[in-house]
Amino acid sequence: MDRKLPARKDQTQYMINELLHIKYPVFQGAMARIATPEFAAAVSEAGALGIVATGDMTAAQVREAVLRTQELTDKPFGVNLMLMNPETPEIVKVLAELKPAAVTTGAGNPGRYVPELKEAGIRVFPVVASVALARRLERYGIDGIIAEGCESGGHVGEITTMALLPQIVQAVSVPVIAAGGVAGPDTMLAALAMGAQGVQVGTCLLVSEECPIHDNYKQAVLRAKDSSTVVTGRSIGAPVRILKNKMSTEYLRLESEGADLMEMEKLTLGGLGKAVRDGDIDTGSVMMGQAAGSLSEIRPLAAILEEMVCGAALEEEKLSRLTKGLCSNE
Amino acid sequence: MNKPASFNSLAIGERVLEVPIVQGGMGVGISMGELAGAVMSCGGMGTISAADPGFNEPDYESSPLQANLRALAAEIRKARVLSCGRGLLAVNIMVACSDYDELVKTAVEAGADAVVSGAGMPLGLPGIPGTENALLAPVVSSGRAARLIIQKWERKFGRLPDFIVCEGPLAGGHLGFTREALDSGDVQSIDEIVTDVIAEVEKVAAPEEIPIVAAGGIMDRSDALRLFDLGAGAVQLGTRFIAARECDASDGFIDAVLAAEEKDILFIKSPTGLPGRAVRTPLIEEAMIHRIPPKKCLCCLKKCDPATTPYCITKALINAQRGDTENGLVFCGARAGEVNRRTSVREIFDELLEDQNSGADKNAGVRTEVKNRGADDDGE
Repeated sequence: MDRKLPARKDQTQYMINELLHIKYPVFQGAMARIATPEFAAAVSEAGALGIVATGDMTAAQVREAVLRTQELTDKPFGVNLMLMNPETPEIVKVLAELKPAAVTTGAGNPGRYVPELKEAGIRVFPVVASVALARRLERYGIDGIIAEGCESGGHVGEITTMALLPQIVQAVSVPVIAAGGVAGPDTMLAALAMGAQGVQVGTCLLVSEECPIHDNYKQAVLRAKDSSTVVTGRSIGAPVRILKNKMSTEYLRLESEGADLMEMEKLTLGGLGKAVRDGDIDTGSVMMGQAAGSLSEIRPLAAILEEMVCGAALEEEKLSRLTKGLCSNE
Repeated sequence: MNKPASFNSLAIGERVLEVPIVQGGMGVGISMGELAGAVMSCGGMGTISAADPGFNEPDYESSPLQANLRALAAEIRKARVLSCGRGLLAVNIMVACSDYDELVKTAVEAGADAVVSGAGMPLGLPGIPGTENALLAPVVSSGRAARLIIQKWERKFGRLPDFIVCEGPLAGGHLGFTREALDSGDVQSIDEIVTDVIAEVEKVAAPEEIPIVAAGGIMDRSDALRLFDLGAGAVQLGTRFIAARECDASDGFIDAVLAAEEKDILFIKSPTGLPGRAVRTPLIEEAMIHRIPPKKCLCCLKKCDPATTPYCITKALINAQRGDTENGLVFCGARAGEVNRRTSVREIFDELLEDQNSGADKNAGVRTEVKNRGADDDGE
């Protein structure tokens, strides 16, 4: 396909919620240990696409999680497939059988699983962090690309959303969903302005009433500033954005000294569980995106999502007044 | 006859519509001569859609204009034969059609009583030669549009619309509202539109001079009576007639509409630039993911650019008409969920009139079926 495709006209663009039959064009990011069936179902009930994180689950556990989610909501929801999971082939079979509305994939190339999932009527959205991979995956007949910039929490790529998103929009013809740094009406509008047909958010949902994390974790998100996160593990090829705390500072020190992998693993082992379950903000791995600094209160999911989407429309009006002024000939 | 008070016959120009029920035009190939003729035989106004009527002609792809004009004339004759001399015949011609003028000329030459025109403002319709003796009617979705057309026609052609079709937001197919307005519900109801348009009519003529046909979401007798009370002279139904066995669409199309529930109905983006209401089909979902470039363009719509159109709407409508709903676009009204069983034109009339014999008394039970267009359409 021609690289220099002109930006598609509005007339031909559908927002992603129309395809998936959901209220808002918003995906909930698959946050390990946090995106439980209960949380994903609550997100779907609130009008976005809840996504169950499966991380290192076995196929049997995935089955249980999907069934549980189906029990909790009759709204469409998605399941995230972590492709490094050795049980992935079996998990794909389970998903093809239980047919969640969508599957998002991370940490690899989902190409070989696309036909089986599509055959089952499941919409497939890989998470990608580079134009090259987006272009390669488009050929598999996926239904959209989640373009994730490195502002996001957890596993990250190298490129910021601002740079990545428009380039992926230019490179592919399928819908693009923007992730990384989107946390409110203004950033959602920015993503749409860059050609996204939906957004994926995580950090802003951490501070929802329904989010099943320890209150200390939520407070840490509320306290966070723009510069409160760091990326660990770049040198070992597993970059993770995480709150700056005792654990991550120590990790970075060891990393810069070239400590061996096992030593660093000891530090992070169970770190996420510590943060999510026990609220250990000092030595747990408290994952969050850079947008955490913009969040200031704990609210119900429905309020967060409604403000984001309806607020984007209001922001757009403001913006169009400003831009009209800019290009007037007077 | 014991017609209920409001289902009175309606004088339109110098013609009389015996039963004030209009069957809305449905393209491509959904309301053709068969359905229109059956409606006419019950005393109503049948409407043939002039959206690519020639799609089944062997030369459709090589010379679409000739095929369309020939087929349109043939469908008009077929409807006349089936009507047994009753009812009125309209042809619905979209302003967005590339060959608008030619289609109008052919429709009136072939003997249509009325030309109904929407999907844009038919501001130049009365100027097309041959339309002097036909009834001309715009389809509008607001008092404002009615006023514009009335003013323009009066000033430029010294003529008023013979009737006005008011189409509300619950109609099927192309709609005269923006997508944003439809989504937010910030649209006038058919009741409000009828009231507004009557007010516009009253500024230039006695209300009975320009009767109002109310359309969009009218399903049953109570809807009709409500609109008659507001001053409508007739009611137009589309989706309900899809379930009639006389409908010109294939079984696959009809079944898709019968099976559709409220949740399966959505708005599509049409290359005409107007939003359209349709049944969710795999084609529509595919078009949501990426553009489906047309294989061949017959330039049927003025505004459609084959290089940027999200899909070829005519091809999609033809696929649906033939029963390929996978790759088709199935237009339907907002209340298609209430249409669940096969019926006949006769039954629909009986139910609306709540009267077994009015309407088409002596023809009741008589059904003329013309499967092919007959021999007389050769060489036209």
